[in-house]
Amino acid sequence: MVLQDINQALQRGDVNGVKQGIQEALDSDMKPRVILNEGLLSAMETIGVKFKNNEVFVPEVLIAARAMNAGMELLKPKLVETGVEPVGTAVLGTVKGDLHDIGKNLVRMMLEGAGLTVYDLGVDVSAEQFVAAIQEHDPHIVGLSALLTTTMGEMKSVIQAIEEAGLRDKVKIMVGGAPVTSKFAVDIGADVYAKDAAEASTEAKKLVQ
Amino acid sequence: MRLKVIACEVLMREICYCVARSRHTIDLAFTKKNGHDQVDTLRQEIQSLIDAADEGEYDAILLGYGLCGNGTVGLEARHTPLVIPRAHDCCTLFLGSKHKFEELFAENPSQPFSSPGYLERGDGDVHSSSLRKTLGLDRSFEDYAAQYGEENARYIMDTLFPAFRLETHEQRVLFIEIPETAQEGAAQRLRAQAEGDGKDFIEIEGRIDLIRNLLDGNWNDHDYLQVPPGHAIAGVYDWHTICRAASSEEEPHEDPNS
Repeated sequence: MVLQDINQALQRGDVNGVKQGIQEALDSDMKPRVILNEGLLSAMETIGVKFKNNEVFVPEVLIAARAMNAGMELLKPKLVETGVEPVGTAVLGTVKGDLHDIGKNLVRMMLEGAGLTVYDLGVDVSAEQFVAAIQEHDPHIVGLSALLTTTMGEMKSVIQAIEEAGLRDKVKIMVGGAPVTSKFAVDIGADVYAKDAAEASTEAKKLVQ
Repeated sequence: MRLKVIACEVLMREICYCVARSRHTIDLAFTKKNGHDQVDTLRQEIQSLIDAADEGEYDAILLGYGLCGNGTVGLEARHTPLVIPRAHDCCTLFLGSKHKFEELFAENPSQPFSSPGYLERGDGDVHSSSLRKTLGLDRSFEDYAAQYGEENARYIMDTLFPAFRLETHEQRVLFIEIPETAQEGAAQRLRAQAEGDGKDFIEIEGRIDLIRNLLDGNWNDHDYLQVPPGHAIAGVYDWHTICRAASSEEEPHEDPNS
């Protein structure tokens, strides 16, 4: 019952409700992994599906992800104690010349909602900065965002820089953004194309499995 | 020649100016501005207008667009050739060349701009209220607070509309006006609005050449892509070629956002 309460509280962005539910669950000796999977992650998955189906919009995803993060703060120490590792790591950024951040922020939140640790490099991120972040964080996934046809070409430059740095085999590269297509993703040598934040989350989970 | 022009309505002043001076016979069709927000709809609409032309009715169909967020990528020439400027968006058409666009925008492609055509049709520049509505971002703080509580509402506003944006690309308002089609008072109105918002107003003189040559039939390969029947527009996404004609055998038609 408490898992259902956490799930519902998360979906309506109720930070206190989520925290309270998690505390109750922990107090009743429920396993942290169960709380994570059936309380938090399943709720974020539902939000992702609703977002995809246009039943909820950007603001609802934002506050759900915020409630998720608040819940994780409480749960993370318990997960570490019981030896549960983060499911994976991602480095994200909007490519050089492009200052659009809403889509990329949504991807970050959905990936965090899927249990990944995300390093968000922000907007206007150069190929060198992506390479440096890969060297520093050793991520499973690198996510590139572009919202303009003028900046899509920069995605190719980033992938080339990752190749030249000898890091291409270490990461899976996911690309997205309004004008980006699956064909373009293939053409520039990316591994995955995600058409929206929900799909980015689904694909990221597959990549880190 | 007998030509059909299909164009975005933000170019109406410039296109009508050129039509009136052209030695060719030209029919016109316009699509609503901000089509780049709903590119699938825009593409379908333009394709329907292309398909409405009977075989032999026109020597060419001219497209008054750029890639427009891929709204023109995938458009097919059926029986009549298509001609489209090599441009990312209408900014190049207002400026008169892709080189001028690169010179002004390569360092900051995210910089918004406006023109008389934008100003006289609603909200002024390439920012779009329809896109915000699609994303669910058209509601006010009060709306969010009523639905999700004040704390969440504040979080939504702070996250989606951070103040720092005004310190970056949105601190400048670029207004491109072509002398031949300038609208009296438009620049002054936008200047007053920009300065009232604490932004810098920058006026740039555009050139009619790219639009005029399109309508005059001067389609050099440097500035225009000619798409033969049985071919479709494909994106190249650089600063010079920008688009190319893809044969139907070369690659299946891909709906960029499917």
